[in-house]
Amino acid sequence: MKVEMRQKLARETFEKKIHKVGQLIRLAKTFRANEPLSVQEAQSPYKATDVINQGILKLPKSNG
Amino acid sequence: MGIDSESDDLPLADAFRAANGLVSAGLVEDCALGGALAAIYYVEPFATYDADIFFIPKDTGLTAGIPAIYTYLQAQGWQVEREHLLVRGFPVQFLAAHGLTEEAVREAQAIEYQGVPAKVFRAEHIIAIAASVGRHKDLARIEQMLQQADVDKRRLDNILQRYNLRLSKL
Repeated sequence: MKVEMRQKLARETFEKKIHKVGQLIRLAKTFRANEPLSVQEAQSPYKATDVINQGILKLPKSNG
Repeated sequence: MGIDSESDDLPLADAFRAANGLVSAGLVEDCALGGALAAIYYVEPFATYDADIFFIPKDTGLTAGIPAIYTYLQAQGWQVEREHLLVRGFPVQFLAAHGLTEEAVREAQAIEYQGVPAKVFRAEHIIAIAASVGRHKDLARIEQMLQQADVDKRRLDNILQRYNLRLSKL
């Protein structure tokens, strides 16, 4: 991800950033459920943030 | 472990309310958010799987009043899973502060999160604590904080000097 985009993300409100952390957690759970990624891949913050911010992946609603 | 709500929002406001409740109930002197979620206050969001709330104990005994904290939070509906307390399925660790972390709690920045008053470690303390722990992920956090957060270099140098810490491994 470009430095400018990362800086922009860093300057979002805390509430927005915490919402994104929640999305990242759900994304990691979705990956783990679908295919056996390595721990490093599943926990990689930058790749997952890219996916969410570029809207590549629509997250399914959790069933609980 | 994980959040059990349909929303992606972590129940951080609930954690702050609980922390405030512990102070009001006289079980702890003060509380503040530390760890990865505190870092996220200053930098881009990244995945983390728990919240670390540091508290200054009122009980100076060996247990630091942790049993009373667990009893209080369980009475509020929190669940216990190993070293974590869970609020709506999200793990929160309550950690007794001392030394550098106690200073970080005392000097934490007052914020408001979803209408709840709260305190978050200052960027300079997050960096100093990461330097004191020194794992690979802590060094990465220091680098990220220095790149993205507005760090008061004078305050940081002062903390590092007083606690005999260095950032030289970067």
